Amino acid sequence: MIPPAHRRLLHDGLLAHAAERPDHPAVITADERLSYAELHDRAARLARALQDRGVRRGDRVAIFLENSATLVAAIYAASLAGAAFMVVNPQTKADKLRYVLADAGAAVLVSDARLARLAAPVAVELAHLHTLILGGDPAEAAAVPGAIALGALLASTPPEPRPSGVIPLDLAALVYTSGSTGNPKGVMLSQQNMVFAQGSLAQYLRLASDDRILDVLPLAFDYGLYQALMAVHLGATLVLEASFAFPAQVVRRVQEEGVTVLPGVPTVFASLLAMHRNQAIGMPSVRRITNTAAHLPDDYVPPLLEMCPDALVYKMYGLTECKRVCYLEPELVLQKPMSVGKAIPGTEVFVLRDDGVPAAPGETGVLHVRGPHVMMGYWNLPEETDRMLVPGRYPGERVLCTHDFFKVDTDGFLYFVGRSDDIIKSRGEKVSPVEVENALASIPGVREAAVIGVPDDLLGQAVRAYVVLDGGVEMDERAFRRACMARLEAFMVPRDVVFVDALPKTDSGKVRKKSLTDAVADSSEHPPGTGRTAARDRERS
Amino acid sequence: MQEIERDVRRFIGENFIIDGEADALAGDASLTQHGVLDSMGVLELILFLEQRYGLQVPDEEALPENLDSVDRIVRYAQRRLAAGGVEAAGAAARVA
Repeated sequence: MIPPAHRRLLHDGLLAHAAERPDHPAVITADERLSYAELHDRAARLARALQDRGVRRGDRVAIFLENSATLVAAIYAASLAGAAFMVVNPQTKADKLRYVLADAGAAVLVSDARLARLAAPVAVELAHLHTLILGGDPAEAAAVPGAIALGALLASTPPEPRPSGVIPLDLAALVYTSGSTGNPKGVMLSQQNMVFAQGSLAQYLRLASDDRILDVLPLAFDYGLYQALMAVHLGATLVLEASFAFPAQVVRRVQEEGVTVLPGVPTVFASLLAMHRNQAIGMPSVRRITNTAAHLPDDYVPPLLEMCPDALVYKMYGLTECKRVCYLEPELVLQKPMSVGKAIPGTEVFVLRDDGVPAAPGETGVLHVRGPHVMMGYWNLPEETDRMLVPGRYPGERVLCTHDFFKVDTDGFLYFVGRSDDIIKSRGEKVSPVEVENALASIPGVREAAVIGVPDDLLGQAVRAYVVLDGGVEMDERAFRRACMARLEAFMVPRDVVFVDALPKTDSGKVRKKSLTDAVADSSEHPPGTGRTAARDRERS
Repeated sequence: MQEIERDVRRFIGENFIIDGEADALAGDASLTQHGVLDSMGVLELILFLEQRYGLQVPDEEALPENLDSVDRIVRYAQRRLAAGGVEAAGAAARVA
């Protein structure tokens, strides 16, 4: 037994709860209900199997799975084996999957027979990737050349991983995040980064071991990931949904499973509120509602409290590079409606002017973050790392320069002002315009494209593409959209496309994005494009 | 292949996956688990059913058992069309 004060590694909580409360539900999904003993058993067998196949301390284990109990088990298996895990969104297309696996130099890919069409060819291509493990239908998995079927592997391996020698300074995970350069960057998080962050979050959210935490967000997204980590850290229960594709089903699960914690992004809450307007929804078991990734509109709060009368509403802000920066105490939601609060427990933040002097109240500056949650750096990107991690208070210490603009008020509360890069936040996910532009440029017939974010009530921002076609090429919106779907995860696919003869350029030939953005801000015209989801939302409101 | 199934497969093929794959997709395969539809995709599917067949898909019926495979979509649309005479007449007019 590991007493709480001595839990230093991600899997220490799992080991403790499997010993202390083996029958308590750990993970509930549509298909499975795993107790702590069962989750531990699955993780421990997989950990040993990874070690038996040559996985060593520090190796990267990629997990390309839908939200599922096996995905959670695989995270802890990697940690038990001394490896670092990386969760890849199951919507990822082949090119990007290949990119992140190659970038990380992943040794193992854990996936599912349903995703083998994508996973298997990429696994064969990459020499460093020596093991492909497929869950799901055993016959389908076994039919994939070179793949190992997960079920048989677990059945034939004892739940006894060998000591890995890992200490809290070791790499625990790579979390890939969109970068303004176009290629995703691997945020390196140590065991101690993650153990600290999960504890700090659970503390300010006032969570306990009897909580039942809903998770509809992809675990490749750190907000989704940390719901699972917090649940296991506390010995609580994770109610894990594959997605938020069917909101009515999610509501039913909340009601049936007595969910107490409802984490979401504004798009999730917008869907729930649209349903609630049609027919009142009651989710009285919910005690906490948490929002991050984009600003929660103030007029969402009263109807959310109608649905969940006993809930505390948390507004938060963060970035993958330190998981979470700040949160607003729920008792202050009405007093400080525009604020994202103060630093999370055990950390500090400060807003600095260009000249390095702390900004006065009301003055805009760049937000800096100091604490044990700050990342180790970006994988294989020393220059990018030096841009984000700058010298701190003591020799050798580094603090996170977020490059986001903030203000503080006289009470020390933080206000988000804007980003210094052109990353788009749509549906709570980060979209790199360059990444989308590169994908669009690879579509035959497209000469060039520029991508910007435009305001959208439902999405926060919607992705809009301005596209110049090659001479003589005709392409309708539908054909363009299909070509996008083949190349990009759905949340990156432009909602709007505007075909133009030319893009506004600077003298040096760079696309003048500001002209495009300003034109959107100035015009009151209806946005072009399909606007299908907007149409539906209008219908419902 | 009956007409509704053909319509649904064409809609999925044109909007969500690459040519040819819509026909290859097993009728009982989960569209969300195969990465064909995400949450926005489900909204677009619902809008398609509403516009194409004049159905109203209430929020509480937007569930995987009704919409998460080609077979389920076809069965759901048929059931709703059979249930609502007015709706069905409207749909026939639209289809025609």
